[in-house]
Amino acid sequence: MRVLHIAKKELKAFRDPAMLVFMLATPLAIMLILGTALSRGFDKGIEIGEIRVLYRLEQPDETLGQAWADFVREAKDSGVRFEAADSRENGLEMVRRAEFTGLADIAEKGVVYTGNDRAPVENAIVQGLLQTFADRYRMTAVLAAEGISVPEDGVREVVRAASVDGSGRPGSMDYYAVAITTMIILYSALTAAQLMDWERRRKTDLRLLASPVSKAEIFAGKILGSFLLHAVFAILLVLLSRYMFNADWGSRPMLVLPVLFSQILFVLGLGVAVGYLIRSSAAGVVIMVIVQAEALFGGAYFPVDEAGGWFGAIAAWSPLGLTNRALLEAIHMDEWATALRAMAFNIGAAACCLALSAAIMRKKEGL
Amino acid sequence: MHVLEIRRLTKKFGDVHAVDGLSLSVREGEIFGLLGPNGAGKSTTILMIASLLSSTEGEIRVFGRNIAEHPKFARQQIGLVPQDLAIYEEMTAYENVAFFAGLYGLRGRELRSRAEEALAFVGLEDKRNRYAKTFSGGMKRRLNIACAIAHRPKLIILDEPTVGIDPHSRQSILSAVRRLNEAGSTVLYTSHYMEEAESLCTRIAVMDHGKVIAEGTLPQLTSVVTDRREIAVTLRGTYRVEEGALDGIPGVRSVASDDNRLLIEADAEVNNLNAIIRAVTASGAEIADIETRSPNLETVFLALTGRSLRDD
Amino acid sequence: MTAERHAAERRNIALTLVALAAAVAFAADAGGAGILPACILIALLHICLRLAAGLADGWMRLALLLLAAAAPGAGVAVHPAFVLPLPIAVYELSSRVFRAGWANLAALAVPVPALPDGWLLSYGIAAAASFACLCAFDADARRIRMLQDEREQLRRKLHETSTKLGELEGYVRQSEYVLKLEERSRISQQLHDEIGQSLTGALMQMEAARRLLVSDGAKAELLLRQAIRIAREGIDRIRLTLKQLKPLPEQLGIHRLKRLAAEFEAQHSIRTSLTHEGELDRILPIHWKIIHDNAAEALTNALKYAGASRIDIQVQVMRAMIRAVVADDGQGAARIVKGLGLAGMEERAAAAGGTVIVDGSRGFTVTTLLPLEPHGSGGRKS
Repeated sequence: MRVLHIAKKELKAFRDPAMLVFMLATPLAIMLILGTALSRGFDKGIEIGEIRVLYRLEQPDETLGQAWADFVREAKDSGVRFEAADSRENGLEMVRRAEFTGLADIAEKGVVYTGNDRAPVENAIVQGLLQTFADRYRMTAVLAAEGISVPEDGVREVVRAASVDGSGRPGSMDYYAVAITTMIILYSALTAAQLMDWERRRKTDLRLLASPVSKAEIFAGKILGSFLLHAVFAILLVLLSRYMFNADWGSRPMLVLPVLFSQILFVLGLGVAVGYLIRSSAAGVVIMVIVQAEALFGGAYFPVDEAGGWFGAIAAWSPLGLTNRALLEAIHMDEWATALRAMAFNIGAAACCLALSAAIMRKKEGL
Repeated sequence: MHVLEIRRLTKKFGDVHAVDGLSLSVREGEIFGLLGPNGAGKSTTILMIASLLSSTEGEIRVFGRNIAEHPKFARQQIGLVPQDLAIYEEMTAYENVAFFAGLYGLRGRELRSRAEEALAFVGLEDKRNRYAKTFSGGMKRRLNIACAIAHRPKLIILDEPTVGIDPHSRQSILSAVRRLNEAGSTVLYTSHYMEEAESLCTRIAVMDHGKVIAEGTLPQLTSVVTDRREIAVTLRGTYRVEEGALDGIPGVRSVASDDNRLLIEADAEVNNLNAIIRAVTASGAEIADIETRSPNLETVFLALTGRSLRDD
Repeated sequence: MTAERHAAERRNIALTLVALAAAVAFAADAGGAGILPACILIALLHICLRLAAGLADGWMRLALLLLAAAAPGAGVAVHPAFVLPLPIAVYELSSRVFRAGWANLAALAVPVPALPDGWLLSYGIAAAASFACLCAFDADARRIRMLQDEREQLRRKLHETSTKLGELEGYVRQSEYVLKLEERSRISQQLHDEIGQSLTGALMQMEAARRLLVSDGAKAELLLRQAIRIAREGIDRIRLTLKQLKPLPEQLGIHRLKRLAAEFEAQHSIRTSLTHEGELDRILPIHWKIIHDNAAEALTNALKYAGASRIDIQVQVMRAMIRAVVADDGQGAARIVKGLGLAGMEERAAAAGGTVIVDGSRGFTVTTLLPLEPHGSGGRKS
């Protein structure tokens, strides 16, 4: 009961205008700026220039040759150009040099495609096309035997579909809505580190300790209050970014909340633990450094999942990055496995940190 | 029953004894003063009584129960007014009092009414919805007291409540303490201001270097040092009062003259000022000034330790 | 944390750091700069967990040690050089569980099956070296523990001895009192005998003389002369008795103190003055003993620590309190640590219901306060 009483007091921090600005206005502003300004790097539609593919046709019979010629003509209109190769080796060499996306060997029995896998999207398109061709040829052959002809704009549909399928990548506003929300939650480690020091500075820690409430209750109450406070902010950010900026929080936005809550717990735990290990205002400085570094490596400022080298190596270990990846995958690809991992990590780390803090608090005199 | 009993209380910080074998007891209904210079160990003692600091040795009993064995009970009986302001400036006066009262188990309607009572007691009831940030220094001090009394503690501890505040606020705090005592609470009051201890407290313990060096009512304490007081009569002009003019007055021990001043040593308990004045004027002299120097706590402390209560 | 655990902890961490540094250096050298950040991260993680384990207790410590041991375990996946700090982590874990040395040594063999190829020899060397160091650390810790226990015992013995001393002093005081009573009764007996005899004899002669004054003047004169002689003899004898009884001036309290001060000044060339105020004869011999002994102790302390050029001793009798002060003008002390000397002074004063205040703000001042019965009858308040 007293735990709730103390938690309620923490919520009064809502009144602090500085906090409201920091936790709501600032992140929304950053989302708006970064989300609109950096949209170029996030285009859902992928700009693909003309795709050039080499082909070799071994002694086709008339049907195949005709079908292939039709196919090549239609493909050209949709941006894929098939050119004949003189020899296999030459062809493969040019593919390796990336002058062509790939080499297609067409024969009666089927199509063999060798592609340069540095251009996965292009390859996917070409393969899709060739698959369609193969199917259609078979079908045409069958149908021709039956005397029915096949419509010719089928190829165009395929090409369009392949290029439009953006393999589940988020737009810039969607990305930043998630990344900034998690970043702001990360920053609440600062308030968490000062949680106990706040009372010490106002000398109200004397009153708290002189009352019949135990240290454990004070600890629990403050953590609970902080958690509720930040949970409310998180919900507000999600709702505001969704309805004001049309950020995509997935088809089931309510399921995103547990992941965010687990992150809040982790960040609280981390902040409180640092606050207890470094019992002075230097804790704030340390947290600031950690938070800034985490924000950078965790993908708050720009996406880091494709970064390489040492940066990428560190980014791979970042908890914030884990949470971000979890959320993005869950929202855009409906993949919840990473989310579960992130939640497990967050809650586990939070438990460790809180246990450590509780142990230290019990040993020391005072709050 | 003794509200507070302390036996051989000791607190060591490293090798230094902040409190050294201190013993005292506070009876119900009195205002007990803990007087001593800065660094005497008053605040440390207070912190230990309020369970904010653990003791190295010794025991403290509140209403007969050892505070180490019954911590919650002890804390429930005590209301602490710390030396520094311990309030939340970001909350209103009412919210402050209500929050702290809630820590002592008050709920709902009872909480509301007690909080209102506490605010009314210190005269802040019409400011209950104003943020503590907007209060003057004296008002904040009053709020500091209100936060300690909402749960009706039987023992109220005030740790140097009047340090660094203006005389007007000081008077209002002293009168609040008296009213609290009249309302039935026992008060433990620490200070290094002698005048406050003298005017306010029923019994006083004089502390120095972590020990109680003397304890009792004001007359008991002063009578340890001396039972005399000094009366200095300054005469107009160079008139000399003849020897023996004051001999017959009861309580007069010795008379010395120094230029135009008569230095009379008299018993502290005997009220003979009128008789002295009559005798002096009867012999024809005119009195320009009379100064009485009675022993007070400052004198007592100085006599016992060779030092002053205030740090100069 | 106890002192020995502190010391052991420090050394273990130092050893761990060395092993980690070696592992990271080796890994970076062999595996290239690409894995350096991962290696550093693992090393940091391990050290943080290890430090956290040091702060914790019981099952939490075990859990943190387990996590810490997992770090180099994971590190082996990055680069096998992380087998180097592994034995230390394993030893820490196993020493929580087993006491015996051979059991811990056996525990070090546990990770062997999981070692990457070609690293068995390195692990073995690291394990042997770590084991040797850690065993040595543990032995040191045990030694510290033993010394501490000894010190605790000595402290206890000292306390017992002090208490006993206090009791003995009490007994001595008791005997003193009894002796005083016996002395008094002897004196009263002696005086009674002397005065009784002389006065009775002289009185008889004088009565006879008065009766014969008119009738036999010469006889009367003779009788008077005899009476005078007897009286004079009596007075002489009384004087002799009193002279025997009167205590030597040196033994009177204040004089003894004066001698103490004078001797001190002569021996150590520090100006030592003695002043007094109030009715000294209200001070009982028991008070004088306390004042004298405390003053002697205070003088010794001043000599040892103060670096003073003058020392003032002051004895003041107030209405209900005796105040004896020994003050020097030396360097004083900002914090006062209560040693055996000060504790002894306090105990002496406490036996008479008094207290001792020590102040170091202006030079060093030792004030002994002893309560008195306020009516000046000299009774002792207990």
